[in-house]
Amino acid sequence: MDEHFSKKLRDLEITPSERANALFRSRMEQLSPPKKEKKTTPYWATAAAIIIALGFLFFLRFLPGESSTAVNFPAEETTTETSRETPVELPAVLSDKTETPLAEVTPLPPVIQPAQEVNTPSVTVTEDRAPEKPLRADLPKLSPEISYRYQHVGLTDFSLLDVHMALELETDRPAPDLTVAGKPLPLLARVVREVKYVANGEKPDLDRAGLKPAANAIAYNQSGLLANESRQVKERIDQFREIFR
Amino acid sequence: MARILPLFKTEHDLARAIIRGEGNAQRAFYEKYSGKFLAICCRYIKDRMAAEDVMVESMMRIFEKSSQFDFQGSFEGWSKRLVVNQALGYLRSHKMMETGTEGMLEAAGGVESHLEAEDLLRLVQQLPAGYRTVFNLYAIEGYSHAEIAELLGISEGTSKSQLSRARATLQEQLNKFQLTSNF
Repeated sequence: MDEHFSKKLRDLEITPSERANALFRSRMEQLSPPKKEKKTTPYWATAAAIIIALGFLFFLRFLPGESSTAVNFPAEETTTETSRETPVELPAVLSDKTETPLAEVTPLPPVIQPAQEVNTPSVTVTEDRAPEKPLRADLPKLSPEISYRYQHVGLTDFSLLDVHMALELETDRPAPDLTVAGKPLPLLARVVREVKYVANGEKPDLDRAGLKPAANAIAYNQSGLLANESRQVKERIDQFREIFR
Repeated sequence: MARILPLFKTEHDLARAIIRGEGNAQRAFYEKYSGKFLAICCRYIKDRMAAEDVMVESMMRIFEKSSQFDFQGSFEGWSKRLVVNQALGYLRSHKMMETGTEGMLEAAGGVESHLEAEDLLRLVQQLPAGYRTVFNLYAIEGYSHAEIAELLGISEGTSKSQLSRARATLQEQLNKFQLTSNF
């Protein structure tokens, strides 16, 4: 009888119920060691710090008036403004630039004054100018060269053929008397007077006649360059052609 | 689960994985042996749910003590002994080890027409706890009276007497079944 029971019962299998399986799964979950929680906080904090720093830099870049160099100065604004006010001022600037070495300009810090003071002689012309933006007031804080150039543009801000005020910033010579009874001498009268000087044996002097800006304006070609500048450009182009030939 | 089992070519591979605490191996072991272990528990414990609880607890105990396996014999045999011990511990904790014949008479009514394994199991389950335990240990598990005496904390004479009474009871039940089947 023992063998009979043993044979029958030894290899007996009873399928566990679903309750037993669920109990086993729950016990397995208890038995398994708790997984280490990934410390994601430092990574998130680092990413957030980087994003905040980049955002701060991006904000600083576009802050108006905070830039410390003239590079960020809106060049488009100045060009449009000057072209709108005085179409012929560019030749004057170029001529002054070509004729005035930087060494002679730099000793002029006292001359570099706020725009209104420098423009005093041409008040009648600049009266209709739009009020200066706050950025222009910061120009004197810039480097002397940049400030000088900007103010120089302002000095030529007049109608060239009607008011011919010599801009003798780079020389100590007294300005020629181009007025008659307090009124500016017309262009034709200046030409006639200069012709008389030449006829008397003197050398022609455009500065003395106050005709230099007008002469420069006439001397510019279609490319906006003087003859010598066009020649230099052509020479450079020829050099490059030789190099890359 | 059937896809996991082939990962362990031998029983000892499975044992090593269980010792390493691999969850896949533990689940594979449960899938493979839970039926056998539940049958063992049911031979000792009459209540099915209690037997299932003991089987699951036995599994957990096997996983906990797997490092004590010395790879000298069968991991299944080593595990079976743990299951038997767990079942005995359950009987001991519930004070179901007392010998006696209570409940024997109700057993006759549950005998089925064919004495298959489930029928024999049901006969065994109808035995009093003391008889049933000694009979299981001696006749099915193969323990000696000395080992049974040590396991259960009884004398060898008590073990022998419990076994003989268990046999007599089972024989009586079988005779009743044969008489019932002849009619």
